[in-house]
Amino acid sequence: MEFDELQKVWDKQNNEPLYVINEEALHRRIKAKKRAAAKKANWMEIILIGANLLAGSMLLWAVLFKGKEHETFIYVMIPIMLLVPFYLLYKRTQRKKSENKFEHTLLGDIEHALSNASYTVTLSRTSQLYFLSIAALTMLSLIFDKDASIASIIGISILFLLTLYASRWEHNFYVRKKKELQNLKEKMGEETEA
Amino acid sequence: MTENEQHQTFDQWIKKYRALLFKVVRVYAHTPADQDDLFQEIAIQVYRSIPNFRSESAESTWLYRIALNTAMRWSTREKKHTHGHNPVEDYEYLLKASSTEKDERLDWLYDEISRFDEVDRSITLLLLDGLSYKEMSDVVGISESNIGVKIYRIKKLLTEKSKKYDYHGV
Repeated sequence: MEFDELQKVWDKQNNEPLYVINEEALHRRIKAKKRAAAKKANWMEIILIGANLLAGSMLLWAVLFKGKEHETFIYVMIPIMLLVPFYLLYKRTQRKKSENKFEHTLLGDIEHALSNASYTVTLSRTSQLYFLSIAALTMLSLIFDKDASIASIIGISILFLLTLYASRWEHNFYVRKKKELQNLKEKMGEETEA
Repeated sequence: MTENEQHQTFDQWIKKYRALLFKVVRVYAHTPADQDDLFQEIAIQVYRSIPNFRSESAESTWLYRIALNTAMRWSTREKKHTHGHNPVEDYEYLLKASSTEKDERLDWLYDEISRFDEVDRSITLLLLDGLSYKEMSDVVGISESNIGVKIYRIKKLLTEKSKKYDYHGV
């Protein structure tokens, strides 16, 4: 068949739709998805902001009202924990602002998705490094605390290691997603040989 | 835009452009369960895109962009499930194959297009649906000359394959 004939075969379907849509089910699913998406939206940023504010405030409260000894490391952690949410809010605002700069094309959509994916990868990598520094400061604070038992130090260490393992898994998941988008973008921009 | 207006536009678009959406679904998804899954994804993205539509492009061009972008990303993600999703009993399917008479040549054409990579599949769909190079370039976001080169290669490949298809008399 020549291409014109293929075109005729293709055009025949325009008057005979291939499927029938179950419209009620479609509406139900869209509503459900919308609710789920609203719940999931921005969870990473919100959890990080909330967790830092909560932990920083608790440490501040402990220092101010409990008069804990050996609080040198805590003094370092408190400002970090209370400042990080503001940094995250700034990055979040930047991300939101950049959302309209992409072209309304397939390539533009993929670049937009890639920009979001890069942001998520950077955020998860930064969170890992940040988590490690907080874990190190906490451990040092516990080691120099005469009241801290060996059991509590071991227990908290295990908790930190498990969290670190989970965050590494999460980070690798985002990296894979980003790689998929990069591959798609490469295919899109691939210059073909004339 | 109110939620009610968004719903109305969505219903109109789904009715008016269902053939366009079905073509994208069929090129990117092969089992009924996958077609259903992809159609749902596309419908959701179309619904979400309505407040952003500014009439700068034709509705059909806008819908092609949304549908193809969703399909390409869905396809990349779903490659891990090489055998597709299994049909589930008691599952409320969104799409039901219509009872119109089947053209085997059309099945063959869809089969061949679905063997292309994600980007070439999109361009083939746009080509067969009669979009100009300029419109294709607007939808895909690559230069018209690059579109032209890809189309030349696609046409050549499909014509060659169709000759073998005729030869075997399938």
